[in-house]
Amino acid sequence: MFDDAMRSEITERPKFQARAYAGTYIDVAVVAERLWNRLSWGWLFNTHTGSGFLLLLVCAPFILGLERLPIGTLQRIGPGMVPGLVLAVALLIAGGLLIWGMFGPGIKPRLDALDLDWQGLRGILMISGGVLAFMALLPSLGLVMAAFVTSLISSIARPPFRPLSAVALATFNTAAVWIVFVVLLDLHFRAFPRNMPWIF
Amino acid sequence: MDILIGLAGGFEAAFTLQNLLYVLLGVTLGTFIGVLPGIGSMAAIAMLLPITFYMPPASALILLAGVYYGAEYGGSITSILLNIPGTPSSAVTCLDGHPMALSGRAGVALFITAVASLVGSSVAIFFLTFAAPALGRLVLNFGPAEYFAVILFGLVATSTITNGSTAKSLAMVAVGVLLGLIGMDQNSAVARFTFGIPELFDGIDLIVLAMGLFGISEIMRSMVMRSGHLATAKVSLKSMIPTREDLRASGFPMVRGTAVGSFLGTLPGAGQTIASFVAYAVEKRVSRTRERFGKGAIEGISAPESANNAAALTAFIPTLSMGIPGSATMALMLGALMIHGITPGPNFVTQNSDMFWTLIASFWIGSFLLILLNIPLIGLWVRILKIPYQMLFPMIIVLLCIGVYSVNNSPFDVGLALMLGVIAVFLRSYGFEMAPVLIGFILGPMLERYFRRSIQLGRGEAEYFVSSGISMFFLAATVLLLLMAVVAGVRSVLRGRTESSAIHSLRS
Repeated sequence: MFDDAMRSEITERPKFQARAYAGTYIDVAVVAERLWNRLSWGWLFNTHTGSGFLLLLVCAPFILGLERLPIGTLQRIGPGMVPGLVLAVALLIAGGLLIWGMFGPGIKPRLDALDLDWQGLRGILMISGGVLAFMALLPSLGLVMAAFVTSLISSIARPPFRPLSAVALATFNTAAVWIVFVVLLDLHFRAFPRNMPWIF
Repeated sequence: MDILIGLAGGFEAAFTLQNLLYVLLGVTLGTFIGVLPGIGSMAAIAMLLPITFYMPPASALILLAGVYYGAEYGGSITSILLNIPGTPSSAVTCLDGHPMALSGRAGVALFITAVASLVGSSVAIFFLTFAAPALGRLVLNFGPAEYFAVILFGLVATSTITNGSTAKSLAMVAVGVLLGLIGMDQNSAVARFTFGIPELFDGIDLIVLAMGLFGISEIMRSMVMRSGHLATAKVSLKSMIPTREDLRASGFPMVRGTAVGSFLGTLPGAGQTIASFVAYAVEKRVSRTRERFGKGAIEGISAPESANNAAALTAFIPTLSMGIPGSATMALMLGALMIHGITPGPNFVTQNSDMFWTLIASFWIGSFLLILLNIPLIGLWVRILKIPYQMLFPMIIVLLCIGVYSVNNSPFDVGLALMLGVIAVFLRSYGFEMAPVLIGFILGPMLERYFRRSIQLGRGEAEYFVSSGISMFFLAATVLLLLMAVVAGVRSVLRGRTESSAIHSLRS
C-alpha cells in the first residue's frame, strides 16, 4: 500500500473502462464513461485535496484553541501571536493543496486516494487495541498482565495469526519484560494486580 | 593546543570501564534495532531515552550516540541483504548494495559499508573537534535577533532541503511548532491549546511525541511491509575480503562522500538522508561508467555510506554549539541533554568542556567498536534477519508502551502517543514527513522566546531584526530558500509533473 510503484498503478487505473468499438456510431458506453468520470468525485478526492483536508483536520483543534488567545500588538505580544502566525502558514498551505488538487493540471481522478487497504487498517486497529489495552490495564492489573494482553492483541495485526503461537510469544515477551524491567532495572512499575499480595 | 589537551582528557574519561560498556551497549543495541525492519534509529533513541534518565549525562549521550550510528550500520545491513532500508538514510544503499548481494558479493558490500562509515565518521569527528568550539565562540556574540534569524532559517531549511514536498514539509514544521507551544505560556501564564486537560498544562513530552510519530507509526506502517528475501543465507568472514579493485574503486568516492556529508550535516535541517542521496547523485555524475550504477557499482555504496555517517556526526556541530538541532535525531539528543539540565549553546563547549571532549572521544571509540563488532559478528546479524518479523513486532509494541509510560508514569501519555501515531500514519500515507514535526516541536518554543525578546529589545520596531549583519544574512537566506522552493514548485507544475520521490529520480 505504501509502495510507490503500486501507487502509480492505482492512479493510472481507469475507473470505468468502456470498450472502444470500431465504428462510427456514438458508443453509449464511451459516453457513459465520460459522464461518469465527469460526475465522479475525482476532482474532489485525490492525493492533493486529501492532503489538504487532512492538514485542515490536524489544524482544526488549533483553530478552535486559538479563539480564546489574545493576539496582542507588536509592542505587547499576546500568547496568541506566534501560534496565530504559524497556524496561518499551515492553513495557507492547506488551502494551496486543496486548490491545486481541485483545479491543478494533471490530477487523475482517484477515489481511493487514501492508500490504506484492509491489511493496513487491520494493522492500525489491532496495534491501537494493544496499546489501549496497555493503557487501561497497567494502572490496575500491573505490568505483567498488561504486557501479556498487549502482546496478544498486537499479534493479530499481521497475518498469519496463529492463536497458539501468539499465546506462546506473549508468554515469552511477558517473562522477558518482567525480568528486564522489574527484576533487573527495578523501574517502579506495579508488576501484579493490587489484590494479589500473596504472589510476592 | 587546547584541543589536544581537551581531546586527551576526553579519551581518559571515555576509557573508563563504565563508559566503554555504554559505547558497546549502544552500538550493539543500535545495530540490533537497525537490523529490525520497520523501526529506525529515531524510534530506537526514543525508546532508550527513558532509561538514560538514571545515568550520568555524559554516559547517556554516549549510549544514545552509539545507538544512533549503530542503527545506521544496521540499516545498511538490511538494505544490502533484504533490499529493505532499515533506516531512511540507508535507502540509497539498496540501489547498488542489493544487486551486489544478489551477485554473491554481499560480504564485500558489507565490509565496504563498514569501512566507508569509519572513514566518514573519522573525518567528521575531526571537523567536529575544531568547528564546534570555534562556532561556539562566534555564537557567543549572538543576540536574540540573531538567534531568531538562525532558528527561522533552520525551520525553513528543514522543509526545503528535504526529499519530499516542500510545502508539505513546511506545513509539518508549522504543526510541530504548534505542538511545541501546547501548554502554559511562560510570559502570560495562559494555558494554550490544552482544552482543559490538566496533563497538557506542561506541554507534550518530547519522548511521547517521538514515540508516537516514529515508534508507533513506523510499526503500524510495517504491518503491510513485504517480508524480504535474504539475498544470501550466509555471509562468511572470508567473503568479506574485498579485492584490490574494490578498494581502489571506492577510495575517491569515500572522500567525495565524506566531503558532501560533512558539509550537509552542518546545515540545519539537512541531515544524513539528504547527504546520502546527494553523495550518490554526485558519484553518478562524476563516474565515467554511469550505466553500472544500480547494478552493483561499489561506488554506489561507499559514497553514500561515508556521507551519511559524516553528516550524522557533523550534525552535532550546530546542536552542541548553538543549541539548534540539525536533524530530528539531533532534536532528540538535545532533549536528552535538556532532561539532564544541560542546555547546549555557545557556552556548552567551555562550561561543559569535559563532557564535550568525552563525547568526541566516545565517537572515535564507537566508530572503531562498530567495525570490530560488526565484521566478526556479521553472521549473528544475518541470523537475526532470519527471525520472522511476526515474532518480533509484538515485543517492540510492548517496549514502546513501557517506554512511553515510564516517562511520567502516566497512562494518558500512552494514549496521547497512540493518537499522535495514528495521525502520523495517515499523514505519512499522504506524503507528509514526520522529521520536520519534531524539529518544529523543539525549535518552536525557542523561536517564540527569541521573537519576544527581540521585540522587547527593539521596542516593537521591526528594524531590530535586521540590525546586525548576521541576522540580516540568515533572514535573507531564509527568503532565498523560500523563493527557490516556490520557483521549483512552479516549474514542476508547468512541466505537468506530479511529485515523485527522490529515490525514483536517482534510479532513472
